[in-house]
Amino acid sequence: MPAARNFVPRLASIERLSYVLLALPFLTDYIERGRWPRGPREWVSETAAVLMILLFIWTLRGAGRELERLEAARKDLMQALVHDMKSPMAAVQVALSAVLSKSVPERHRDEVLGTALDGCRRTVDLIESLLDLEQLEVGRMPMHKRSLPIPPLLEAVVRESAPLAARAGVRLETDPRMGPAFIEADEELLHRVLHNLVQNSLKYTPADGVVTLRGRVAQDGTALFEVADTGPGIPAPYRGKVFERYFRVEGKDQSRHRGTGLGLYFCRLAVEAHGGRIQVADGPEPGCRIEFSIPQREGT
Amino acid sequence: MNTVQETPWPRRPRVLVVDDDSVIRRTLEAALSERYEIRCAPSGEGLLALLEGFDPDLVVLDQNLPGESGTSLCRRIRAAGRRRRVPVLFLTANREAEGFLQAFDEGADAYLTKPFEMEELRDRMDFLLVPLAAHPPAEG
Repeated sequence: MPAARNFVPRLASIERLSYVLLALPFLTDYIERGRWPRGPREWVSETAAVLMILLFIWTLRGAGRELERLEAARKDLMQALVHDMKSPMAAVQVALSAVLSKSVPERHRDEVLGTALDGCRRTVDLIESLLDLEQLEVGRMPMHKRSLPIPPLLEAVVRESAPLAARAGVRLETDPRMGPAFIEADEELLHRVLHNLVQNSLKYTPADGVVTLRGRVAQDGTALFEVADTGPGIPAPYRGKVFERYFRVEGKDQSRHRGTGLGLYFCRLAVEAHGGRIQVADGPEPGCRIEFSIPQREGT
Repeated sequence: MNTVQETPWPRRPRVLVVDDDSVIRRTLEAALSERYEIRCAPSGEGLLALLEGFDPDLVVLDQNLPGESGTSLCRRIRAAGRRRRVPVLFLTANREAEGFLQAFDEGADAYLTKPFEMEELRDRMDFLLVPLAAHPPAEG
């Protein structure tokens, strides 16, 4: 809200004007009649009127300060996001210009272009998820629910993240015991939720670890999903907070992170848009298990 | 240009690159491997062991690493007190003066902001490697 910046000083000048107004009746009385002060009834009513104006302005000023605070928070966030977008794009620029200037030998050219393309994809993903977040926050995300078989859904997520898992030396798998269950949900959103959770797990799971995806439909028809990893886990005090907007378990260096702190927040909004719940499962560290439920109108 | 150049060094200089961005790591590896012996790491984990094992002639550090920052890594490299002082070149996407100053305080020798051209990086690396050409350390 850029208007907030002009709003507060303007209020301050109106406030100063009110003080003048408060004094004015007494002053004019004195000048006109040489008498000081006026009758008590006028005095009370005029003072009350001016005090009302002041009260109104003080309230508005409080609101104005709140606006300023929000504006500052939004600016901080914008700065963080712009940085998060700049870093991968700067890397892509380095890669492309190296190829273009023939600094990269012919035999490595495709590989460098491939990683540059990955970098572009990551940035576009980030921008897309920002746009989606906005839609989810105001409840305007169009939902296209339909009946989906669970196993192929999980397998698609695994396939997509397989190259990253391979590079990290982490085994990424779905639980082979899943039955042929169906779920009523928005495929795109559910896919993004699972994708985010898996990416998150892969980021924190050290080499030789395992990330497992599970999905099933419970007796009461609720669909239950979980993504478990063998990473360091989330310390108990943070477990309730990881789904809040912009929350990150911070290290000492806050200047740059691999994520935006929005991935898990997106997951929460998307699960809630389905009427479900998401949480970090209780359990000892190391290892992290995030589970979410999506209620189904009829047990399918 | 990608011609096999006459290099001023008795052997290919060993360069350790620490950057969390896989695009940067792969590009540097592909573009510079003919001239230098490049070893890449995504974080400072095991850095001191790499310093001993790989014994780099130059370290290229991303300043804004997740977890332990490049600045802090540089401090540790300097504190490790190796038998020869290894030059450190910082890479960063940050253009604020504070970052530069901090890096030099911790013993950085040069600084390059992302995005950069490969020639720029190569020039700077070669400059930092001049002592290696003049006084090659005894191997062994």
